[in-house]
Amino acid sequence: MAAIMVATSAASLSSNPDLDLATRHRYGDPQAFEEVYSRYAQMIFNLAYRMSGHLEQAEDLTQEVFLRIHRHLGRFNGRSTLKTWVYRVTLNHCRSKLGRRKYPMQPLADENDGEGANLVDERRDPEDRAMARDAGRQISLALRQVKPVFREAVVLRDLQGLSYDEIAEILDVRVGTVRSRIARGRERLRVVLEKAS
Amino acid sequence: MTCQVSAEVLSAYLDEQLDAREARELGERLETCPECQARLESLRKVVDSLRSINELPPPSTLHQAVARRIALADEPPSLLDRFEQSLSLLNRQNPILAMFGVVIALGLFIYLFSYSLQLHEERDATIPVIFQDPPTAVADPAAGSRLTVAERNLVLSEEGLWVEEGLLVEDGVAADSVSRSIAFDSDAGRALLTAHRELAELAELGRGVVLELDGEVVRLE
Repeated sequence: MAAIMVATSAASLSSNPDLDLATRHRYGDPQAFEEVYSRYAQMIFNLAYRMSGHLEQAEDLTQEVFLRIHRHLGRFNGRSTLKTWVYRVTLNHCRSKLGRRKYPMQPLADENDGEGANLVDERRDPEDRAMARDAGRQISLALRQVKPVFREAVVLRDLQGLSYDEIAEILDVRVGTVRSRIARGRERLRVVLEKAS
Repeated sequence: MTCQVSAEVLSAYLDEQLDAREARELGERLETCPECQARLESLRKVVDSLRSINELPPPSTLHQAVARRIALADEPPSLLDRFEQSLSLLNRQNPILAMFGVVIALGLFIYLFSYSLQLHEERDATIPVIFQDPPTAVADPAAGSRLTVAERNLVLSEEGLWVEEGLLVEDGVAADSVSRSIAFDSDAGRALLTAHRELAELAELGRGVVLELDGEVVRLE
């Protein structure tokens, strides 16, 4: 309790709410992590889902990301925003986990002996069939056919609604690179969707 | 004629990320190029579709699952776990160094083990000494004399009667002050063994003992 009081009083001197949250967490205030959870759970889950392409895997990834956040939040130094930091942790974890078993990608028709990538193929797993009932099913399935490096950029821009500057900071690349990656991801999606229609 | 406008320019145009010159050039191009317009519209549909996807709510079990995993992670790892982790980490980073470390640890263990055995043997070779601090007077029925033993210093271990470590070292001179010896199988020795079962135990083990008898330091052996 004393530690929390100390943290609270220290936090009251800071003008950075994100840093205050990290300080409170470092001093053992459980509410700090709860606040981070409520702010970012949906964002992390959706990002993990779009990167993995599977709901179950997205839940596992989200749990692991929160475990990382819980472990490292105390060392957050406020150089970036907490939101950027959380995005970076999430993407790094997704890359690390999904990279080992290859990102889920399905080839395009012209790259796979003429077998088309049927975006609404009912022979796929039940999750796919359920997704097929969604309004954005084609887009969701088409996203799986975009290379991860471009998919990240498109998801951050068009699904998460981040600015080019924010994406550049998260991916640690120049804004010009972000522009290029978004464009290539969108172009790929356009081709996939046209082939599917 | 194929449209020369890049996909990147069209994509950036939709996000208002073109600089003034690029935007002006593309604007002029779009007025005269139906292919450009078609590509832009096609791309705009993709972006609109992406932005129309609703976010999924996280599973209702997520919060509880996260809390459980954090609680599990907070449990301190056992010594064995930590050793395995360290070894695994070292093994990943430098297998040769890991092997070297294991060999060093094994060598150290063997050295310490043999050293402790040596200490044990040296201690066995020393005749235990019993002193009178605090003196506990015990009547000696054999000789009518008084035998004083510091019973608090006697410990009964698996090896039998022993004198606590420390006392022997500090008063090592006592062994040099022995004025006479009493054999276990002499009359006086048997009387002492009868009166003091701890001493009898020493005799069974074949060990001698130095003790103070009527103010005289004697060796019973």
